[in-house]
Amino acid sequence: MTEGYRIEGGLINRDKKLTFSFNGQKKYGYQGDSLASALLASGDTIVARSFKYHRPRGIFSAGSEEPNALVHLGRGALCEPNTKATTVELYDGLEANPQNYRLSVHFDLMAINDFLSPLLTAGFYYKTFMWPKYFWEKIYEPIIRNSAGMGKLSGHSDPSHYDKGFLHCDLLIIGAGPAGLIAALEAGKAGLRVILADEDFLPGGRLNSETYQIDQKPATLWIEETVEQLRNMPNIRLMTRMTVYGCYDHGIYGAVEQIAPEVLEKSKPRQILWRIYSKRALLCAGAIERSIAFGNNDRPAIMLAGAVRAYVNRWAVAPGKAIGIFTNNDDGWQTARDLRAKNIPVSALIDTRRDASDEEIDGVEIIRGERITDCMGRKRLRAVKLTNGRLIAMDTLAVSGGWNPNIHLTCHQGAKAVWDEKISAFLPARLAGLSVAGSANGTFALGDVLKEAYQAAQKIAKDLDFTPRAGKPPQANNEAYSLSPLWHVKESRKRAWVDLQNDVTYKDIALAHQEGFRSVEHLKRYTTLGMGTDQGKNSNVIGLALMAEQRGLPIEKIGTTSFRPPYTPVSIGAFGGRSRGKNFRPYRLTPSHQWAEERNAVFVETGQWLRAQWFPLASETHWRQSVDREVTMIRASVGICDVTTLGKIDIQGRDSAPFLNRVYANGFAKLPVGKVRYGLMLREDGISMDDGTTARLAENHFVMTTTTANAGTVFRHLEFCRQCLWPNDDVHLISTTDGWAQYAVAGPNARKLLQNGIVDKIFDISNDAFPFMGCANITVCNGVLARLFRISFSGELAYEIAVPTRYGNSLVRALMEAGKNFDVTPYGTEALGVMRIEKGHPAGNELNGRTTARHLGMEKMVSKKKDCIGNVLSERPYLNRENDYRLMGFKPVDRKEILSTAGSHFIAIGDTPNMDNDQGWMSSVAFSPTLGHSIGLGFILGGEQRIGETVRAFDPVHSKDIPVEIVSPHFIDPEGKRMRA
Amino acid sequence: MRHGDLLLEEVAQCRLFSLSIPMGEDQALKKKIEQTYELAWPQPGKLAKSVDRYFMAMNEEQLFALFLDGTTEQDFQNQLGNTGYITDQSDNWCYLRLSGPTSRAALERICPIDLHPDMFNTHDVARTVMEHCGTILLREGGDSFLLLSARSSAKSFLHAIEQSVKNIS
Repeated sequence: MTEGYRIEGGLINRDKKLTFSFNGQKKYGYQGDSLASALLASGDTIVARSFKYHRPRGIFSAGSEEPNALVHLGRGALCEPNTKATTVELYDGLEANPQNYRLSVHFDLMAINDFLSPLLTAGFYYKTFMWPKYFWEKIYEPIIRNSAGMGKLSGHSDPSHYDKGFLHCDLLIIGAGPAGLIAALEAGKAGLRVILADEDFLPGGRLNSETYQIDQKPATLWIEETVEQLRNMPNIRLMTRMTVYGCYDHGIYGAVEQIAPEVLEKSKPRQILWRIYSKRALLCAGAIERSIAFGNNDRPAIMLAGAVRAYVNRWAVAPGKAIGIFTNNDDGWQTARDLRAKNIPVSALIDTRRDASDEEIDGVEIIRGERITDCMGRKRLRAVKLTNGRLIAMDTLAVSGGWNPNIHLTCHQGAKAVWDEKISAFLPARLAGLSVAGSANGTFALGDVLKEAYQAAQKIAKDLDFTPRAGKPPQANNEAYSLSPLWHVKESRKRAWVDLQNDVTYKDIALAHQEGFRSVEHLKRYTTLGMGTDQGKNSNVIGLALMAEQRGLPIEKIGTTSFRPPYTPVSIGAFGGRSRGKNFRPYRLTPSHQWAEERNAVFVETGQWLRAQWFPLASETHWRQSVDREVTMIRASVGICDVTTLGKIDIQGRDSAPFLNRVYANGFAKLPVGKVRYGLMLREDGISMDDGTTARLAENHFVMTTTTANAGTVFRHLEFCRQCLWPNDDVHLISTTDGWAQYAVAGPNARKLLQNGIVDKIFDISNDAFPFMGCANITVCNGVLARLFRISFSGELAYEIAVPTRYGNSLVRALMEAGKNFDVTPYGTEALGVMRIEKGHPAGNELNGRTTARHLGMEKMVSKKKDCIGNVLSERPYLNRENDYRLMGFKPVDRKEILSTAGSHFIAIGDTPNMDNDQGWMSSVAFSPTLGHSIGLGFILGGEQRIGETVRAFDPVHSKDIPVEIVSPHFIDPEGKRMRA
Repeated sequence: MRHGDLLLEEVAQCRLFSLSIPMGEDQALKKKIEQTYELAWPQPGKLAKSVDRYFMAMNEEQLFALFLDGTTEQDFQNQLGNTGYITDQSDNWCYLRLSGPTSRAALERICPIDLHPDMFNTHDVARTVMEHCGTILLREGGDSFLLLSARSSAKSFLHAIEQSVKNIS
């Protein structure tokens, strides 16, 4: 066990020791540790390699702004790359590994890149690898991609579980630091429903890392008491481990919650993606410290000064045994005081300001007006060199370049941040619905933070018509904070890093400027400044300042890049949530699904429905065998097909008949009760929309069927017509698609089957009593309510019989039993499709949103005696051209040829296949077992006038070029004798 | 299914009818409802309830009548005469009841509606979408919710609820 850097105190639970491994080595930590704090306690200095130069890197920060300490967390399929060690809560059994190295993180072969750095400046790959051209894709790019980058994906499907959810509140407070805690308390006491979210697993924010006092007691004690109060308030929901990553319209926020490792079970979601609906939001996200660019400032053990305090005070870890401090502001001095309070040796406090405080700190050499130009120690800092040439030995350096308010979320809706000269940082823009308080608002002193957040909560409560309680905010001292901005130590001869994560140096920014990149957005894209998992939380402002310096302009004139969601990376799994595999979306089953499964049905998704395509017998090895058999059996005897999926719309009201007369192109006003009619619906522009049948069950009661695919579209269309076009009509619609199980019984023996114990004997379904296109309410199987329609899609004598869905499973089994003597055959959608093509019935392939009634050969159905939707625009001359496309049948000239795919284009024999010679397209094809050869339906210019002519069905996609004969689209029983039998 | 303190059960034998108001005859139908069931026509988003009958107002001109007492379409028709248009919706829906102290927490994972009692109280009813399934949600009282969703996708809907229950327990 190595825990040489652990010190007394801190907010860790020393009673709960945790075992973990890093880089294959077993290590120990405590409950309350982060992975980073536990690594520091174990003396791990190098935890990763840098993005481009593969330089050794150590832990730099203590939060989600971490640019360096990215690790592979977990193993195998569970491995999550690019995880920030600073945000990982330590748990027993945690396994982490460094990333982005070859051989070893301590001896990385790719570190040769560091020596080649003069060649690898910003945009080098835009300028190099230009020759030979074809090397780029095959040689250069794979090598570059393999060398650069961060972690590696496991390559396996993520076995973890994720979930989503919805939260609602009056006030969402983002950040549970001092501002967030006091705001939540006040808003809660005023009666607001509050969600208080914090990405950390411990509420308190920066206070946990400081040694401040509130109301004359340690701030950590105040946190404990406040959190206790909040947890006891039913209107407050304190959600730790929850990062609010995005701010969207209308008070909606996106957040991702990590489940605490100690309660996480394998079968439970590890992350929950929340959508939060809030009336108001208060951003209390604090501030993020920034660094200073100086020579070799990326050495391992160079850290942010605030992070050093966090490790010392919160996690009881001394990051080093001789720590130096480099600062341009008062806050850096606090680091020295805290280190000395813990008896940690401080090598020197180097303040860039000559006029810095004259305070003396016991045991600390204070050097004013000097800057660091270089850092020595490749694998761990050994010493720093000052502008005066002095070398100071140290094993850790704490750097503070000032603090940036954490305004990320305020930019998500396009608001631009505002530069503030006083703190040399960007302040949030004013936004409706989103207030900002505390350090996120540029208010850094604790006393002021508490007061501002307290007042913000009271104002929000008043705005929402709540009554805030009388009182005053807790009291705290206002610690000093003044700074003299310093972005880059000009005396540095060595590379000075601006963006650690992307290996962007001062030189890169100067080069970008030299090469003409003036816009901040261009700078970002040319140099990659501010990209990656940290999104430039440390580096953006320094980069902008250096660009301003290059251009000789003040920073506010340079502009800023906009922050976009997410605030921190969100795993794709969280966005997917539980919607995986077959539960990716809902699926719909008919009541006879199980029956079909028992018969080995092969299913196909049609929309959300699962429909049986065919029912293979054990002896059948190819789908065509099954489909041919099914078609043949139906044409010869009888078959049963589940047509439950057809859309069904119940239409009632005194004006139902005139309503239908207007929505259908053909007449429905005089449809007698007890009759069904085929109907064609047009869009307003005269193009065919959908077809189906509508039955009149009573004077003011109709039932419409739609195609399966268009059920929702047609219902929506009808509602639009009812509510917007004819709001004064007495028409009422409701879907009954799921309420009725419906089966087609088709074939010469269909009637006999139904008469064999299905339709109750009191109902006469003989051809005379119940002719083609009849409908009736009947009973089946001794009294079960049913509806019977005599309609046919197959062209055979056929019925569709519907029963309430609860009886569907029973009915299909009863139908099979009743049909035994007729060798009844269940058939699926493929056989259905073959038979409708044989019969020349159009379906979805023909009603494709481009075809008119005239194209379909149904122009006579568009009644000119009445008005209907689409009637006027169907009169447009272009839609009524002579020799326009018409739906026709097609047979291969060589009957042995197989028309296997729709989509072929018709080209005249001898013509070159191109767009100019295109004469139409094949919309549907099938092998007709009835005819013994392939057939097709399609649209061809000239239509009926060309019957007998031969054209080419040209399909360049499948390399097919088949001569076909133009024939009538009605291949089977064109007179319709069978279905009227 | 019982999972911890939660009970998820199918409510069998529900009969559900849509009832629409003929144009211009709303008073006649509302009066008939009052006379027959001693219930006032509820406001949209609310329900009127007697022992085994829920009248859920889905919009201004339509309500859903949910009967747990075996009333058939014909019975309902006979009771109302020709004062309204009735469509039997019983088999269009599946009926699940989720009850128990953490029912709201479970529904929070899939229901976009704010179910806090201040916002969605006993006898409130709403149409919403849960895991892409259209849903009618009604608060029977306390922590008991009745959930109606399309029968054809009942398996997906059940999975969504079960998964939520498991995920929070």
